[in-house]
Amino acid sequence: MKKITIIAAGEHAEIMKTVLRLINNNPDWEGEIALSIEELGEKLSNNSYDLILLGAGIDEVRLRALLHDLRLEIPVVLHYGGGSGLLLSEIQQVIDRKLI
Amino acid sequence: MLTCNGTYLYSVMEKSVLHKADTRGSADHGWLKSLQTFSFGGYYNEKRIHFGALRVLNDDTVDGGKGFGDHPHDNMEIISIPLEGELLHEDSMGNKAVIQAGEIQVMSAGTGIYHAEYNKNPYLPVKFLQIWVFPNQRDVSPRYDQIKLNTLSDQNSLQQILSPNKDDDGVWIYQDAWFHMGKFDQDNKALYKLKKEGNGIYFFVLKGDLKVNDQVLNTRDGYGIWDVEDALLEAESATEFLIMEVPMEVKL
Repeated sequence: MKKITIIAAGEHAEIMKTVLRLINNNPDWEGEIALSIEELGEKLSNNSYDLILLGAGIDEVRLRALLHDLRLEIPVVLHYGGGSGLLLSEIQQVIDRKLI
Repeated sequence: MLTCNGTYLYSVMEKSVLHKADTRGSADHGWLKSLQTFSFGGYYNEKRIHFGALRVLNDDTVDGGKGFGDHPHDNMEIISIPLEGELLHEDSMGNKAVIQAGEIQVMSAGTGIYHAEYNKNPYLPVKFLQIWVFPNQRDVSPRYDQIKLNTLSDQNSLQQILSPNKDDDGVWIYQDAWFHMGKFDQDNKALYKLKKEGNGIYFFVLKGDLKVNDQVLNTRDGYGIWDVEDALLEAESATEFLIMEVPMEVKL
């Protein structure tokens, strides 16, 4: 089965490293991180992702504008909590709604 | 609402959800036993993600001397209410504190914090509620606070322990939420009036039996209602309970 590819974006490097580790702990998911909107734009331009997880410090309006400019329709999930507590639910809900 | 002859009526349009204690999710990590009203960690139930802005209600027991090592959070209002024992708190903002039963701790994780929570006692377990509320704004500056609750003077009345207002009773958070605690003798009653239109109310019984409108709740049951203006509470036995009023609309 193809892994679900997730890019998690947030400005807090240590938290994003934790989130990345948690994503990659799940055998069905494959994660990458971006620590700025610029890095996110670069990665979105060059790679394909199933889901964007939006962490702290990245402006959602700028992200929506970026997706519009890149003509990408990728589900965006606002990530809350910064750790393992809510991550499974946030991603699983998108899968259950068949958005990816 | 109360009618002119004192009879209590509640709206037939009332919407509700009942979470019986034994239907909660559970996790046993040896040192930590957690009973989870809403999906959390490895527990996922698509019908139990949140009640409005109330996202996490964990009923945790930590073995003596054990605890949660340094770990991060962002963008969440995190409230801890110890029920038995003492928790040792340390965070990346330089706070070091002990919190015990009769106190409440709040963290606005905002742009990001690290913290650790340990059972201060090496032998006896600590029991506490871990409650997470979605914030009404993202990326705020992190903050920590704890206060002692006035537990002696509030028998048979509702005590506000949390609000959105810095100058109001209890701690405050970045959300239009109000929490109250009650410790009632049998047969005592109270009317809880909604603080903000559109909010819902979630009741969690710590011990004893509480009737909310027509719904009887037992120890550790949870019950949420919305599209209401108030709720009539009646102690079916000596009871302690928590009331969490939260917005029902959240941006996810």
